Amino acid sequence: MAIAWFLAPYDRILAERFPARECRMNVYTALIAADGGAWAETEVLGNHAVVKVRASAETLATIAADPDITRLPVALLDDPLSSLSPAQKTAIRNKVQALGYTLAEINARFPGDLGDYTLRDVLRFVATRRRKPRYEAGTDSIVLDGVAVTPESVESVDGRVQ
Amino acid sequence: MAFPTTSILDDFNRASLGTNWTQGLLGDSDLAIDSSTAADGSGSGLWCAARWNVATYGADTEAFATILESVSATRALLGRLDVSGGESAPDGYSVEFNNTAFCKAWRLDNGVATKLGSDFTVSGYGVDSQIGIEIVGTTITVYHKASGGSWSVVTTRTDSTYSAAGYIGLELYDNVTRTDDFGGGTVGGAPTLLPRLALLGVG
Repeated sequence: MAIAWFLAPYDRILAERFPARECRMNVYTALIAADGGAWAETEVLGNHAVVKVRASAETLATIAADPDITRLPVALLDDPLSSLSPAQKTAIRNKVQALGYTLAEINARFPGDLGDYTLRDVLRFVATRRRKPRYEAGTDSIVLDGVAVTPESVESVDGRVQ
Repeated sequence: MAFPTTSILDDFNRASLGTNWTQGLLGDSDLAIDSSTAADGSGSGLWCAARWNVATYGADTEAFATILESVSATRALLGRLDVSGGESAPDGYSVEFNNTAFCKAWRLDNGVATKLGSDFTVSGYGVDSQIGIEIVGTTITVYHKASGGSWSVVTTRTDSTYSAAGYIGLELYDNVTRTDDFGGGTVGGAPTLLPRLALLGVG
């Protein structure tokens, strides 16, 4: 069994009695369960979740092949990012910005080389906030523009999947 | 801690629902009584939903009910409900139960449902099963008691969004659904707030 951290999107579920969405990782629940593994998430900014998964290496690779899911290149919260290539570090910065954090916020938190930080540092930043959703009937869409909400901590997610 | 720590609030042993339930939760109404059980009066293939309005409970909250027919129809227990934004757009938590499809735990934000974790199943779920939820701190625990059995934990979910006291409620799907002995309250037994007294019959 192996551990991996992902950034996974939320998908709209249409066949429910209310406007509903679920974490993309639920698609892989059967594979993860077949491995005897587990997953846990905390919703963060940008209709995404930080997800920790314990599963076989093959299942983690299958999840990572999902074009909308980003696998973080290191597995433990206290793993340094110093081993990452420049391209990997740029990809992480770009993904965090794509979630909705501004370049100014990112640069203020991570001045200099992202390799000077750990996975915990990055995920804690990603889990700084999320927005409360609402339903917009006119467009039949779930809009994430409400008040800022503090997500569950990455340490809590970490503790739920051992 | 043992589950539940509270008592039955409504055994539905009467002809009409009365004033202790507020309809319209999540935009669904028509929780009704049929043959002294809670029933979905909204029609085939439709949902009904209502909250117990006698008090708010919590923050640590529990709710439970007994499954009668139809076992395959979905029921949901709700807790920490905040309806300040309207009955159709509550905040809080809902857990769905059935025995033919997946069970689900939801966080409700303005009536938008975000699934917490994965779908799950309940083993041994059948007629006269009891279902329960307990929300303590950031942990939502799902309970089941098979007919003649003991309460056991089915699964847990974690969410830190809603931490205040709120209402508990019930949702039923389809007009063949019958549910009984709805109960719950503040874990440990004391209600947080009594906005009004329950009416007592004097015979």
